[in-house]
Amino acid sequence: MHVSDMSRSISKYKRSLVDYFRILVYLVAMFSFVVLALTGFYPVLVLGEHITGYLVMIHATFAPVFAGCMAVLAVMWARQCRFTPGDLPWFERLVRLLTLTEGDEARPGRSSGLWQKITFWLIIFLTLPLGLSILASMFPLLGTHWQELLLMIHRYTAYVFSLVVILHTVLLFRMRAK
Amino acid sequence: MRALKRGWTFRGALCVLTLCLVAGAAENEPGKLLGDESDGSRAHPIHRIELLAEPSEPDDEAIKVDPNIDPEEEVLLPFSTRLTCGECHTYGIIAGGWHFNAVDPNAEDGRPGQPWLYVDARTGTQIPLSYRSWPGTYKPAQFGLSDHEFTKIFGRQMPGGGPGEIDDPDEVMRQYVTGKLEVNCLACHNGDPRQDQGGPAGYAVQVSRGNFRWATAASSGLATVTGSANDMDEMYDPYDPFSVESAQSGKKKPPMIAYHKNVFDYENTVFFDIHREVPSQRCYFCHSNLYIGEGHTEKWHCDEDIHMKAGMTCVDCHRNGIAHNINRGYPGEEKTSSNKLVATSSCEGCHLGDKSTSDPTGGRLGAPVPEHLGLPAVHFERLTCTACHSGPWPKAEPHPTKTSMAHRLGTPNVNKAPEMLPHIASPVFAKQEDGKIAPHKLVWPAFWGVLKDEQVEPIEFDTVTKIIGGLFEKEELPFSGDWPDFTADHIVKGLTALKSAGKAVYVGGGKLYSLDDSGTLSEQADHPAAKPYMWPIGHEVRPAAQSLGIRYCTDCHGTDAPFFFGDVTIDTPVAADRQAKKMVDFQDISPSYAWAFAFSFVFRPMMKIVVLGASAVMAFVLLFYALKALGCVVNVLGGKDD
Repeated sequence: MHVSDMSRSISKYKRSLVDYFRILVYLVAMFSFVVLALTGFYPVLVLGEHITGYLVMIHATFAPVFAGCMAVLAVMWARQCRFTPGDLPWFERLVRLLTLTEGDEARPGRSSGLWQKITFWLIIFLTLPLGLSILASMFPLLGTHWQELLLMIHRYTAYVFSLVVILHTVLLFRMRAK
Repeated sequence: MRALKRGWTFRGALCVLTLCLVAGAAENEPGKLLGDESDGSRAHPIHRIELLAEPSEPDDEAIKVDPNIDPEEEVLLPFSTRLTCGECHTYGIIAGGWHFNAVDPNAEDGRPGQPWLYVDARTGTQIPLSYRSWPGTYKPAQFGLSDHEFTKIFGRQMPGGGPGEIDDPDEVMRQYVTGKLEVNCLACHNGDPRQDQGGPAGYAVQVSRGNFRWATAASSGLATVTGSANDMDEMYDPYDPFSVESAQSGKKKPPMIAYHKNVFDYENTVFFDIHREVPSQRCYFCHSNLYIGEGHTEKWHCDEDIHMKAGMTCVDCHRNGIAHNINRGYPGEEKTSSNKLVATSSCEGCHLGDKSTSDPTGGRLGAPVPEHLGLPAVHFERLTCTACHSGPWPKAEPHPTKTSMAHRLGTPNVNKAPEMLPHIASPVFAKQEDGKIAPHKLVWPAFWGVLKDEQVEPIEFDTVTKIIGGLFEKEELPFSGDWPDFTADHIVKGLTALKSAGKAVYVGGGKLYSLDDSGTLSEQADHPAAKPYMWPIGHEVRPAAQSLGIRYCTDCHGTDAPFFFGDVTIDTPVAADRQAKKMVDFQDISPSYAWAFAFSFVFRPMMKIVVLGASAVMAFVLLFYALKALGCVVNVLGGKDD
């Protein structure tokens, strides 16, 4: 399996049930992401105020859906997105140079799947502080200062997370176009 | 015996000498009296002073009170605080303080506070009055109450001054008989346990008897006052021994004072147990609250403010200097108050510190810095501290509430029935001017008025009594002091009878009733004059363990939580209109939104589980592949080419 399988699973004609499930989860995750981004960023970046009212309710409704989808995608795509020797030939050469070990030349990488893998792992990684920061604030564990800090973590993680998701999506569609 | 006498003479001389030295040594600024500025000593100064009484003519010298005068030659007069205390403390400065300056049009009104509530069940009247320009209150003069009448009714729980001292050109003679109700310094500062504000012959009773000149002395524990100035005609001269003697022989007795023999020393000076830091019991006479709940009708059912139980007193926070510009302790007070401690005397100021200074000012008086574990910071933008911490725990309906000022608690013959008017409800969580939700006490105004340019002007109470009192005379008034049950017919009768006053209206239960051209009764629900008057609650502060939200978010964000969905009864004499409004209606929040938001908390635990579970799965995947990657690196470093 290779990272291009990821796009293949979306675009290939002969799909298994698992493929359909994977597509469904992906689409739900994307939709949730769009809703979360709109409801989260609009009041803060456009109106200059905290998320409030019905927006916060929508945001909180889609958050667990998104988290659940991310968990499923993490499980289903992780193997395809693991780094292989061909992904980082320069890194492999560097290691061999430093450790004075010999071996076969690195196998040439297939297409540009590296950035997709990187963005995938970043997405999974960033989902943790994104979700846990707001989850932690819901328990009577942390005081006002930490509450504010957690909110900041949530906000800035969301900025980075959104950029990575956009990049990942662009790469995915580019690969599909090829 | 002679040695003892010599000893006392020596001590007396020493005392006088010390006072003279202190007076001489204290270099006061020009215009300042000895007691206007502290020299820094925290010790209590001894007040052994001679009593001075007001002369009959304002320009005459003060009269020294001598209990041994011949009553046939002179009249024994009550001491005057303006003259007695004013010897060392500039009376004029003190009289401009918060408790006395309501009548000064230049005084800052500050945040709306408790009004004086004039109540008359028979005419369906419950009107908030105040000399301050608080929106929703009416000036006593608008209601036809002169300063003198106002003082006679409400002076019972005023520390004197204010309206009690205003010269009334229409009542010069009456004012000469009753005297002025001077600032009663002892009402707050007297440490003598005999200080009697609410006893059968105490301050409140003396004020209601019109004994303004005698009220302070009567309550001081130094003297007994009998008789009533109200019973004297306007020709009565309280300074004329003959006039007094003649009045004494009559059926109605004039006001007379008898000083207790043991209070004067050999120099006719009197010891006052003056406390600079006012004991809280003194504040309580005017500032007590009784929250009536299911079976909780007595004060011992409710706890005192947590600050008091921690050993503090009212004046630890509510401080003032000689100007008596006491800080009220609400956030934002610094914008209007010249009191330098206001910024650090609010809840935030004490517990968190004044953020505008670089000095650490938080934790004053040992105030713990609150942790607010698990409370999203947005609550601090939307709510006052008191919303979660003050007043009684909210119930499905706000508690019927009694206050000293409204129900003359602590005075003789108080009607103790829970239904006694005026009807105050608390806590009502309402949005205040700064946009934050705070707990309030609420009263629904009810009065007869006239409509002028869409503004409602109350009709003078005497006029109402004369015209309507007779109409409703046969109505049976409940013994409890509750409203009689008015019907629409009563309102129609009243409005018809008051037609001569102009476009007559009746305000009650949040509605404005009027008669249209055909004589049919019409109701307007949204008129500003019919809105309830609310003032924020500061006390009693509950401990952190009893604050709203301590159990779970649903203390407030529950679909039936009183904070949003409590039923605030609409109080009115019109029986058919006694309905209820939801608390959320006072918060400028859509009820459906508040309900939907509260309903979302049903799913909050599920959301937590899903997010936590998803995070655990992702963390496991990350860890798993990180370990696998580490394995590869180890293999490579170990020379195993796999």
